[in-house]
Formats: sequence, C-alpha cells, structure tokens
Amino acid sequence: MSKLISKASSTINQIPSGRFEKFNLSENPFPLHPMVNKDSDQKKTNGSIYEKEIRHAEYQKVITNFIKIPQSDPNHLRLGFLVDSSYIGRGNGKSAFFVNLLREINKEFAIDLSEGKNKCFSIHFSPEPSGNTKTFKRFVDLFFQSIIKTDIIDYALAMLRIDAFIKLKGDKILKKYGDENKLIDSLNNNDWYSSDDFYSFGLTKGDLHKEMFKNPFLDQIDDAFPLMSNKKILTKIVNQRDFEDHYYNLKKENEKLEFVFNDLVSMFLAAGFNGSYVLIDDFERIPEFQSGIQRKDFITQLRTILYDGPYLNAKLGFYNFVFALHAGVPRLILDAWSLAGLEQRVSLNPTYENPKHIILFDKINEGHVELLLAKYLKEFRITDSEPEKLNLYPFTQSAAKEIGIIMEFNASKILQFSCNLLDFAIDKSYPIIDEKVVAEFSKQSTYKIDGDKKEQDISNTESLNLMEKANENNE
Amino acid sequence: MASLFENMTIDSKLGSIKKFYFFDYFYIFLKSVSIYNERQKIFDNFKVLKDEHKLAESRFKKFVSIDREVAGVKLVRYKYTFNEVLEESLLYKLINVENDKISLTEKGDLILNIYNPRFPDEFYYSIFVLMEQELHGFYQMVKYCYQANKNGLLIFPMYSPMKLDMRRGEIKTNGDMVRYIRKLTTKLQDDLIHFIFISRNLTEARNNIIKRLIENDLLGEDLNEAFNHQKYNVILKRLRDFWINYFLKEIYQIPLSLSFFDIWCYRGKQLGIINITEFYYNFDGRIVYPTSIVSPNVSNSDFKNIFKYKTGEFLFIHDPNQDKIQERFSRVIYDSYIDLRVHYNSYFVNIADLRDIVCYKLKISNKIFQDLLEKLYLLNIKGLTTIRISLEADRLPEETKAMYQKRDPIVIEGSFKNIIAIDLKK
Repeated sequence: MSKLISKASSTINQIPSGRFEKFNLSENPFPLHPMVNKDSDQKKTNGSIYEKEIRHAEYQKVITNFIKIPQSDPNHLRLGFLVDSSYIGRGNGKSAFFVNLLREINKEFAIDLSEGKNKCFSIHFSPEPSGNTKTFKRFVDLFFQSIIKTDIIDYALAMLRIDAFIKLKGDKILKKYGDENKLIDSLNNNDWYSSDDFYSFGLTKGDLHKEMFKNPFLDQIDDAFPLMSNKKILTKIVNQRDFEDHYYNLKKENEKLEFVFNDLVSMFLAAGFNGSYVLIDDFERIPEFQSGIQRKDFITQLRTILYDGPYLNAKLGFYNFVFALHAGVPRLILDAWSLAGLEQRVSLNPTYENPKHIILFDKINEGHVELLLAKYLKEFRITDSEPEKLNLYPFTQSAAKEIGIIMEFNASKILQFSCNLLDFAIDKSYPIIDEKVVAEFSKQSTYKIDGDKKEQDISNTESLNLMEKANENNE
Repeated sequence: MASLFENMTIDSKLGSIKKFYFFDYFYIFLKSVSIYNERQKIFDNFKVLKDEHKLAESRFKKFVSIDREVAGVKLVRYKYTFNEVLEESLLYKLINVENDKISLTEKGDLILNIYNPRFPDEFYYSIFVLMEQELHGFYQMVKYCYQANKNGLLIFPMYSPMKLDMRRGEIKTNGDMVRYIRKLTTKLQDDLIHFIFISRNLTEARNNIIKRLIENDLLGEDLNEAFNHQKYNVILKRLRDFWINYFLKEIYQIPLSLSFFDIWCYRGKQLGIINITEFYYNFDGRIVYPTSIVSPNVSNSDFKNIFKYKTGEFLFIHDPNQDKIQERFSRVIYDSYIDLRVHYNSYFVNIADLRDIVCYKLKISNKIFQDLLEKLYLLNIKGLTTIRISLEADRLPEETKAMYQKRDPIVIEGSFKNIIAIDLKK
C-alpha cells in the first residue's frame, strides 16, 4: 500500500543542493546535454543563459544589414543566411543565437533596434527532423504554427482594436489598463465587450469595428478572412483561435499561400507592423531528405512568395527569412538554387567579399570560452560579491583555455565537458580546477586523444596482403 | 590443373583501350544510338546526356554542368571523346557503322537494357566482360602491380617546390629551379626506400630531365640567369609526367604510358578491381593498389570470381563477407579515425580521407567501404556497436568552390555525408 502514498524525495523541479556549495554554486551550472529548446522552462537549456559578447560581431551584422534598413527601402534584404563556417560539426551556438535574436526583436518589436525605422516581429522555427518537411505546403504549415505560437495574431488584433479605440475615445483605455497583457486579453475576449468595464467607455462593439475597418489595408483582404466577420454587427469578437481554425480548414495549397502571404500580411500592415523576421533553424532538415525535383519545387515556391509571385508579400518583402545553414548545406542546394533562378538574386556562393546577406558563424575563441563559463557560473552563484567582474572560480584561466582546446572550441562540447569536469572535481575534493585537473580528467575519459602516438604513413600502415589471404581457408 | 595451361599465354592489348574514364559513357552513347541513327544527331544527344550525367573529360566528374552551348576547343574535346567511345563500342561489336549511319547490334541492345541508373554496377560489369574478353587488360594490370611489389602497392610521389620548403618567389634563377629538381630527386629516392623498399639511384634520370628541359627551351642553360616564370607551370607538369612515367617504366617495369595507365586504373576503380587515390592524407602524390588477384584458385570465400581466362586463371575481387568482417571493419575504421583526428587535430574528419586509409588497410573498393559503413552506421543507431558514429553533410574548408568531384561521394541512407566523428562507448 505504501507505494500508493509515498513520494520521491526529489521532484522534477527540485535539485538536491549542497553538493556544489563549496564552489559557491547552488547546483552544477552546466548542462549535461547541451541543446536549445526555447519552450523549456529550464534555463540551462532554453537559451536564456546567453553571453551576448561572444556573438557580438554576428549580432551587429544582423542589426546593421537587416534590422536597421527601413522595410520601405525596396532593396532591403528579404533573404539571408547564417552560415556555419567553423567546420566543427554541430553545437556552435546557432540556435542559441537565433533564440536570443528572436527575444531581442520581440521585446520592442525592433523599434528600439532599428532606431524607430521598423516595427517588426520575429518568429523562429525548425523544420521537423527525419524528413517530414519535404514540401513547401508543410513548410508553410510550420511557418503558420510558429506565428500562432508567438501569439502575434492576438497582438495584431489588439493593436487594431486599440487604434480604433484611441481614435474614438482618446487614450482613456491605456490609462485604465496598466498591464499590457491584460489589455490584450480583454480586447480579444468576446465577454469583455458585454462587461461594465467596456460599457464605461460609452462605446459599442459596432462603433469600434466600424472605425477599425476604415483602415485602408483591411480593404484588400478577402471576405473569407476570419477578421472580416467582425464587419457585421453582433458577431463574436474574432481572436487568434479563429485564425487557427480557419487555417486548418483550408484544404488547397494556394488558399493557404494566399492566406499567409497576402491577407495575413495586409492585417499585420493594418495593425502597424511593417515587416517580420522569420528565423529558420536547422534548414538542412529540408533539403537533406528531398529528391532533386522536390528541392527545385521547394526553392521555386520560395522564390514565388519572396520575390515574384502574385502575393502582397512578394511585392513588399514583408517577411524576411534568415536560414541557418550548416556548413555543407549550400552545396546540397546549390543546383536547385541556380535552377530556380535564386542564385542570381541571393547568391549562396558569392564571388565578392563580405556579402551583406551572409552572416558567417565562426568558431569561438579562448576569450569566448572564459565568457561562456563565467556566464553559466554566474547564473548559479549563491552569493556574488563582485557581479561585474569575470569570475571563473573554481576554474582558472588556463583551465578554461585548455578546455577550449580539448573541445575544439565547440560551445556545446565545452559545456558538457565542464559539467562532467565540475562533478569530477567535487568527487576528488579539489579546491580549484586548473589545467592539471583538466588534464587528469581528460585522461580518464575518451575525450583524450593520444597525441604522442607516432603518425602512421603508408610505409608502416598494416595493410592486408590479398595474395596471402586468398590461400587462407576461412570456412 | 594449372599445368594443363602452362604454355598458354595471354596477349594483353592494354594500348587498345580508348581514352575516356567513365563506363557511363558507354551508356550515354548506346542510349543516343538507340534513339538516333545519324552521327550528328547521336552526338547532339550524347552532349546533352554527358552534361546530365556530369561526365567530364578528366578522370573526375563535374559538380556543376550547365554547358548548353558547347563550342571551340570544348567542342573538339567532346567530339574526341565521342569518337573514342564510338570506336570502343565498335571494338566490342555493340554497334554497326555504315557510312554515317550508326545502329545498335543485338548485343548492344542487350547491354543497354541492363542499365539501371540506381544500380549501374551490373551494366559496368557487362562492359567489363567485353573489355576483358577483347583486351585482357585487367589481367595484365593486376599482374603488373604484384610483380612490381609483392603486396601490390605502387606509389607515385610528387612534391611541388612548396612541399619541399621552396616558395615560388624563392625561385629566381635557373640555378634555383635546378636546386628544386635536385631536392625533388633526392626526396623521390628516399621515398622509394621508405615506402616500397626499392633502392635506386636517380641521378642519371635527373640529369636527363634537366637536359631535356634545356633542349626544349623551358630552362636556361646559364644557372645564374634569371628564371622565366612563365614556364613555371609547364616545367612542373613536365617534371610530374616525367617522374610518373619513369616510375612506371623503369621502376615498376610497366610498359605503359601514363595516360593509358590512368585509364586502366580509373576504370578498374569503378569495378572494384584496382584502387587509386591522389589524396591519401599524409602522402603527396598518388597510390595505386589492386583490390583483386589473378589466380587459378582461392581457398578463401571472401574472393569473388568475376572472369575466367583461358590459362585456367581467374580474376577474383576481394569482396569480404559483410557480416564476418564487420567487427574488424569497425576496429580498423576507429583506429584510422584516430590517426586522422590526431593529424588534423579535429573532431570531425573527412570521410573520404578515412575511406582512403580503410580501403588501403583492408584492400577493399570504395563501394564495399560505403556498404560496410552504412551497415555499421545502422547498427550504431540501434546501439549494437561498441563505437558511436556521427555522420554529417558538412563542407571542409579546402573543399569550397570545387569544380570537379575529385573524390567519390559517400551516400549513407540516401543522403550525402562527408564528415565523420567516432567515439568509443564508455
């Protein structure tokens, strides 16, 4: 019976403390399995422990070449690439970079970052693993799902309604609602419009919507578009859920494309956005599983929605895509890219130096390793007497350097190694972690490569003698 | 049994092979003949298919090939290849030629129908059988290799001035160029001893080539005179060809010119009979070795008989039982991976480099390597191996902006992979 009522002493959210107190840490700050999942509530893995300094140059390039260029400039970049140029495999921090860029943009919708030139939101997603995202239709589905996840439609709807509100009644409503989230919820909630709160403004739903539909951008939208039902009086207030239902009821691919790249764009424009940054991680998951024809089709459709199709998005360049490309991907898609005519527009293999649309993502360096370790350590310090100083304790600077070298400056591997190394130092009761401890630990694990081994060349490489083997009976 | 055939000899016609590398040329030619009869139309179609199949004139396939307009020198080269394929097809009686009309023979039609783009090997082997019946070239090539060195390895080292610590800028006078040639000769002499235990004095040969360069106005006689840098690349190419030819004829006793030798090697490579690589990670130059033997019989079941000669001998290719060799393969691949990892100080290494080492150690073809790696990779995913393998489609720095596919691509589970990392499970 006891197992019915007894509980484990540690729950998922509680981690036994004490073990790392010796190093002034509440727990082991490093993730054992470094990865980025922006939806996780664990700060070790949701990308929130992020040292901006490490990717400062790449970040600045995005800001200068993408975000600070007014969306109204017909030459603004609609497509860019974040290309891994480190050649050290995965785990170089591209996802963490994207997740933080997403957060930075959405904090003030890039008004601050663009110095007032743009009001853009950002969305971020990865194609599904194992080849489920082979078609453009599936890609658009994911794209729309991530719009939903960002709650940006609710935001836009609230922006439209609030704009009408202010036009009719001044900024009364803003004064009444200090909390932005509560205001958005209220504006998109049908019940709120029959509450005393709403009546106190001396306004009807009909008045509000009449005002809202004066917005010229909304004139161009198809009547089937969910928001359009609010043109009629006595209809339920439309919110993001209705958009979701509507989208999933669209069966034909071109209806979906019209919806996402035409009508939705008009609505965002009406709401006051003038663009959007779409960050697509792990792009290789798409072409890796595609056949040559699928690849070409996909890229041709991409070109259509971006540049020359009959969509509002193609006319304005509302959505700006940034693809994270693993280093081998350009070669994988180069043929299809040329065949679809994109190479001449957005070259994957430019013949000139420092192209604006390509952000190279290089290996991190020794200084970055220190920054990375210090950032994680800081997050889990019990007391931090000098929070401004770079504090590596219990690691020494030379240990950080050594870790970087052994782990080939791959961010994920550095974090994982440090996680195990810290555990090791606690077990051995070492007061600090210097290069000797690193050496001792790395010798114990398979991370160590035998550097003293004499290099083999063809002369001393043991090679099978086929003539001899042919005479050996192996039955 | 062998005694019955003792007096029979095989007359190999290595020089009758035509000058193109890929077996696919037979396919695109026969295919074109199956559609058109007129020579010009066949050629036009041949050009289109040649681009579609990314077939280049050299021993490497092209990466990008959108040459719709072929003219000038290129057209001459295309025509040359076309004629070569035509003649070889005629030799094997795959086509009939009457005036300017060309048609498939019954045999040609039969062979063409064997072609399956997903599994072209069967087609290659059908052509191979015709080649061997007519020319007996592989018979002789394999014998040459084992006669030259008992484990079959032939090396053709080559070092640019840079590799011998002489920068191009340092070559200012004719004397400097001669100094490079001397240095190169010493290095080649050392390599012969080091790699294949052959001691040879190359001084005379060296003096010969210097003399020839002077006679051909490539190098000035006066050693103090300034060196003409316009001739730099020509001289390097002459030296390369000279030494490869020298190694072939004088050291390995193979009476073949470099171009014929190359064609036999690269065709043999497509069949898994001979392996050749110019990119062995710590060797400058090319290495050649057979992945097959010529013998009247074998006691070992890891050899596949692919051709019977009238002497009673067979050509056997080394085709190990994949289940039995798996464990050894994983040990060899791991050891070789560690060598590369130490050499490049990099966690991920180029799979083609790894393939060169493993194929050499196990004397297997590139194709068998790929099959074994794929099998091992799948076992690894299921957790049934002692090593962990990660394969990626990455691009290594030195491979950017490549025009030609200099190394066979590696396809695992239907997608291209070019870097690999291996870990031992704890």
